[in-house]
Amino acid sequence: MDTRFFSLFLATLSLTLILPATAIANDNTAQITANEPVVDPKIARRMVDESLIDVDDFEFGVFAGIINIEDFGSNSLQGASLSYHINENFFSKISYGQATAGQTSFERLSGGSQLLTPEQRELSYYDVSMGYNLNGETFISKSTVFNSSTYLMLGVGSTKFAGDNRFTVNVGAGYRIILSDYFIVHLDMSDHIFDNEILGSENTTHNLSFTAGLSLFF
Amino acid sequence: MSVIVAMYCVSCNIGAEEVTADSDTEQLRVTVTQPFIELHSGPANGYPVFHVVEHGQMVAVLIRRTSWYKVLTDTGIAGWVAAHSLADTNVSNGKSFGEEVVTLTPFNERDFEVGVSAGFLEGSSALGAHISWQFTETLSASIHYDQALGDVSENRVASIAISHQPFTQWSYSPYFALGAGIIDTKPRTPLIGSGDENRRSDALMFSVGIKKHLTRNFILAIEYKNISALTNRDETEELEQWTLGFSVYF
Repeated sequence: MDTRFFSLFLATLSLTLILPATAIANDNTAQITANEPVVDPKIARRMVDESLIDVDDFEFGVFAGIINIEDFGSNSLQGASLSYHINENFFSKISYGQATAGQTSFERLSGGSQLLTPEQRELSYYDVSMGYNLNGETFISKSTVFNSSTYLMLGVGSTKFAGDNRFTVNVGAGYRIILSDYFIVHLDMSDHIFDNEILGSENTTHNLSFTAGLSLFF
Repeated sequence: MSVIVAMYCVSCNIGAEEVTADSDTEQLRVTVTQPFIELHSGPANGYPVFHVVEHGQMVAVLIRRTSWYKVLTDTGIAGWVAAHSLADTNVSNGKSFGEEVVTLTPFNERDFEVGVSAGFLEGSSALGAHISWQFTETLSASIHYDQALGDVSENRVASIAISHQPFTQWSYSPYFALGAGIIDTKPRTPLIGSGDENRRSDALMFSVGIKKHLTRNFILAIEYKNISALTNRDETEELEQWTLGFSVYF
């Protein structure tokens, strides 16, 4: 009895599974036959592609400002950055900057002694950061309004200073005003955190930078 | 930049549409098929809606930034429309913008990948960059540059690799790679001498990892790499590296 029920069940199951499939298959063949043109015009339809639309997810910029290299005073900083906008909120950014360190108080007061050679005073860094945009608008006057955003950044990189490359964490915030579809003005501040042992013991240094820059969407 | 001069002539040609336009000022024009689409003042959801374009009207699509399109109406009003709103508009002959305009390369058809990674090489912080060329669906060739900044020394590894990703359809897709390159080791200056003890050695490497296609054209990857440095000494030096990488494909 059980076996009969089981075979009946199997038969029903296979019917329910196969029938719709054959129905779809029949449907498809019918559709294909109906859609086949009697005369093939042999004209390839031109696909509308995105090349007609200007895709602007990248932003290239240059910046200048000051960096306070811990113990070595405030110094001018120049650099360039390349950003890729992932979505309306997130972006990733690669930046490169360079500065020349000044003298420590010790070097100035002691007279002749120098802690670093002129070559070792050259500081350069690169970092890769992720940024988060807080989008908004900036009302300059009653009738002048620009889209803008305040953003927060967190990244890692490498800083070359005193002859060595040092692993660097950077934390920052910035503000950009989008003047036109392509042109942006931005202000950034960030803290470049790395360890150094120039003055004897190893300590973590905080090196703050304030910069202003211009960039272009492309 | 607002060029309104451009016009599309849509000429029917035995069931096939041909799109022609002035050569310099070609624009992609779409017809609104929904009751209306909303124009925002900027390319993000937070920007206010300041205008609507009604059913049947046409707009020119000018710029894409992330998932937003800047459009220009026939009356000269420019605003930003979300990609999902524009997707249903009609490009030509009943075809929607979403169907017709190929905005992104599917993950399995990518040609190039550019990425960065961060992690640990034998306990020191490692940063890296790579570019790879996908020459078949499962095989790719790549160039890598990694820098590991330790307390005692700094290692720089430049390498080339061939990578195989056998299960491209999997959401978390494993891959294996074999590579060869050069390791430069430089002791940190203040601790050991003047830094003239730089060592350079050839290296062979093997890596395994998992790739995940996140969204749009982004990939996240976790990788373990085993590097065998072929030193002048009797024994081969083994280094292990763990990284988390983020890349963009085209």
